[in-house]
Amino acid sequence: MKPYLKYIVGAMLFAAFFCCYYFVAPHILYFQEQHHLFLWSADYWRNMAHLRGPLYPLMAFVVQFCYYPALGAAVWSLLLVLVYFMLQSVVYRLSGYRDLFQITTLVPVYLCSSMLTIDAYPMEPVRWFVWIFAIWALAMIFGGRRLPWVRRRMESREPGRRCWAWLSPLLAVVCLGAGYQAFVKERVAGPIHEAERTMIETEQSVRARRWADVLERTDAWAATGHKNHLMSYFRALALYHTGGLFDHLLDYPQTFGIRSLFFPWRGDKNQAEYGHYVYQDLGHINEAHRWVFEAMVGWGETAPLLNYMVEYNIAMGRPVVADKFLCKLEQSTFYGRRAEFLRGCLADGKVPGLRYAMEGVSPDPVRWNNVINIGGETKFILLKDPENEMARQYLLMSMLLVGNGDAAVRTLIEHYPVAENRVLPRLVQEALVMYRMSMGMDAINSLGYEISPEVENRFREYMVENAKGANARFNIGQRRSYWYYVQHILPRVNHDFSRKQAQSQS
Amino acid sequence: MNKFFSYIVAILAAVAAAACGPKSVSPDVMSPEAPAMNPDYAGVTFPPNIAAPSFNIEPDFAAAEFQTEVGRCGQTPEIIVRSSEPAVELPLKKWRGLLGRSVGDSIYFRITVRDAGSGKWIGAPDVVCPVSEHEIDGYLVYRQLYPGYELWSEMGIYQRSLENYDVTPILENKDLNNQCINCHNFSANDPSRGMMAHVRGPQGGTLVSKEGRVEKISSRMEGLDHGATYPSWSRDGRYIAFSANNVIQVFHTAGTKPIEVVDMGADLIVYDTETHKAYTDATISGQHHLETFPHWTPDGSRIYFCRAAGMTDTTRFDTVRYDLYRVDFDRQTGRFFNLQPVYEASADSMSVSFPRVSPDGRWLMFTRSRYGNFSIWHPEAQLCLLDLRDGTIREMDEVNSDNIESYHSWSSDGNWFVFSSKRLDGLTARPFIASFDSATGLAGRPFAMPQESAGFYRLQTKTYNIPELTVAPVTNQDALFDGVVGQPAKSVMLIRNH
Repeated sequence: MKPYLKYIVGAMLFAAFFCCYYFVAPHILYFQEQHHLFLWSADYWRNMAHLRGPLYPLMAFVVQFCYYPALGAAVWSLLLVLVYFMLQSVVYRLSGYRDLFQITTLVPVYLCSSMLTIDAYPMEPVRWFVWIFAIWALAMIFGGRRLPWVRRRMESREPGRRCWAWLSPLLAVVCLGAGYQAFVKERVAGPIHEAERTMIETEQSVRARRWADVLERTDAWAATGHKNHLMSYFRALALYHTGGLFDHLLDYPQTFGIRSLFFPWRGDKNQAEYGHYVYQDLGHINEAHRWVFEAMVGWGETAPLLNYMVEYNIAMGRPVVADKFLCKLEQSTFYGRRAEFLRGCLADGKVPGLRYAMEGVSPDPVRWNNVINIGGETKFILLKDPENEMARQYLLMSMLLVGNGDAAVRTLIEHYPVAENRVLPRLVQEALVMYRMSMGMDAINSLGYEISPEVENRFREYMVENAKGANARFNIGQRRSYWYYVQHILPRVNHDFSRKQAQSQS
Repeated sequence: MNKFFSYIVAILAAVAAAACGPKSVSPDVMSPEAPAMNPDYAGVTFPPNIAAPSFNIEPDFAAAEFQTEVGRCGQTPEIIVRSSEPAVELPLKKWRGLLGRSVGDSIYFRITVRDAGSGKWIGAPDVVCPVSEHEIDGYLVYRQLYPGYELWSEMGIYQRSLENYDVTPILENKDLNNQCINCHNFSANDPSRGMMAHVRGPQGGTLVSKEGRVEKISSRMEGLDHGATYPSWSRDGRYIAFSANNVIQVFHTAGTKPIEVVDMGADLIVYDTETHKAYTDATISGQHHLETFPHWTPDGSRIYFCRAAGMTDTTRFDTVRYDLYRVDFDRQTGRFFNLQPVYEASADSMSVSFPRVSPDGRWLMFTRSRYGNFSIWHPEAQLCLLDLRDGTIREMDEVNSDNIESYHSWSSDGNWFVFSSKRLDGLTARPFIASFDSATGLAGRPFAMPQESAGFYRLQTKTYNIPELTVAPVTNQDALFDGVVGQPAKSVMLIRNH
């Protein structure tokens, strides 16, 4: 075999791995980069090696390059190609034969696949790389002509046949295909992979505050009929930020009810890293900080969590604590610019764009957060920060989603005075029509809010259809109504919730 | 050849010069005050066997170079560190030698800083630190974890040699499927006499290690509503007093206090490590009161503890205040009698936690905060001292700061104590050590446990929980591990006296 053939195969492998990482699974690189932070400090090496294994710092070192997806894909691909080259060399140095059949390509293909998951550290390729490097080094030192059978083979070797010049790369392609089929396909082509990708990319957009993109993704998800609390939560956030919370929340079945608006605290590490978004936007920084801290306890000191810790502590007036986390961020390779920006914020004592609704609120008398219902929190925020539009909308929406007519009407009177809000969003009008049935026509009419004839007509049509019981066939407009939500979805929400409560208590 | 030798001589001379260290510079001008040290070691009393402190020099002007000289008072400096960096990390061997020669005397830190603007060396008065005649117990055992709220991940109980910087793990939850480990305690500061810790999780239980033998008992005793929690082991090694707490966590909406941990129920029990029976009675358990944080007197005849009115549906968590109580224990019958209030803090709208009687039985140190008992999150929490002879109480101003002081424990001889304080950053608890004079009841200025790196406390994001001084290292780590994974928890018979 011509020596240059392995370089041709190596280049093919590099291209294949790079395409896989960069085009098929960029979200995995992003996810891993966001969950492992490499720091340039001896303490970091010592602690991480002790707590997570001696190879963890090395893995985090490689993962950090995924900050730039193309660079990350290239570095990982290079690592795998080096594994291939070393194996080629080891086979030759120990046996005297070239790996003409390119069986060694199967190893990097397997290692490539082992990284295509968010459920485990991307440790396998690093571990294999280190071991293979050690074997290769030993083979280089003690192998080759020092081994009698290799020397005999090398001395009697005939000139390579020409046919291998094209056959060997062809076999490499075959091995690559076989490896793909055996190891990779399941991880990049299955529905779980697609769902993971959608969720990770949606969260990426949430972090970047690209709300139109978040809405597009979450709408597409909801349209498939899949239930997912995280996507539902992101959709509500995106709807608020794009001004469509009351008009479009019920466009898809709200099977999580009020929990679409937030995560009730359940001590779940996986939820912990997402729960803070809504509190951050509400300006309830103490609660956002708690979520992020819990996430940090669960996931370790990752770059996004350190960033939030710095921001929130600056907002809460705890500069020394903010500095502690900022120092960590400053030890990273790629977050220097962000750290510099945050250092400036620390000096100024505020973070641009971060609202702190509790500023100046006395801790006396003590008030405790309601960690399982966002309604109480938004109500308190509005007491301290009456201009907080998000708290206003989330409070009313939370009352509507739990079907608490009395509380919803009280919220309307208090926060949506009729003088300024005579015409309410469609969803609220629908709720008022419904509440007329329980609270009385006069009681609702006397509030002074306008209910459009169109809503009245649709309600009549809905009631006619609803009267058919099991034979009712609701059209899309009726399915998006508040009436449909209360009568057909909310009972299921409550049932699911009771079941989950019972499960968690047991 | 001659040239070759001259090179060799030059190199050897350079090496020798480097080995001799820098020569001290004399200040061009004097400043009236020494620049700040962070962590602050100014004026503290050092035990003669403590590791060298590392600190940063923080002058209030831009400095280009820093020089620190350390020596015995009245003598030339024995250690000189000069650098363009403000970090001062002293050589351990020289430091220990210096302390050894300065026992009962004082040492000084002479800090000279070169002003970046004028280029002049600015001197300052010496920072003088007494060196005690009393050695401190050689090890500090603590739990280290993130100062989180409800979740946990990496945590462990570690021991640190105070004479150098060696840290060794005793139990780490990475080896125990991430189960929670907490509330370690010792009998008379001696791990070989008795050590215990709780493990919470599928392999949960209370590890009781006595003279090297480890057994796991069930933390949840039959007939008791809650599991064993805060311990105190009698000095004779026979009894462990526990509070059995049912706690919940609540979170502050505003202000700098993030969390409150609240007892919904709490009772006391005493576990006999010889008979494997536990005792309680209506004096120290029941719904009417919350009883927690027990601590034995040195003779093992009396338990000091904290008591508050029991929770009702209308109790506001910020009105729960604990008083200091004591109860006598009859070692023959396992009965409790002579319940007495010692300090009714609630009358002053204050609350007591962590009562700790000194080894000579004369002093009782406790933490006082405005409400509740989880003082580690209360910025107003302060250490107080009760003279058990005359009942007088005072705040320990010489050790308190304007931030949190909380958990504390005495050394085996009572000449030192260690306590958790969040004074450095308000978030993470650090172990502070202070000398104590039992004759006067006065403590020395406290100092943060020395670390090898000057920036350690600034960068370390984990907290030191339950610092306990021990006279010797824990050596039966394997047995403790086997106790967790290899033993089922033995049930304990609870005898409820009436």
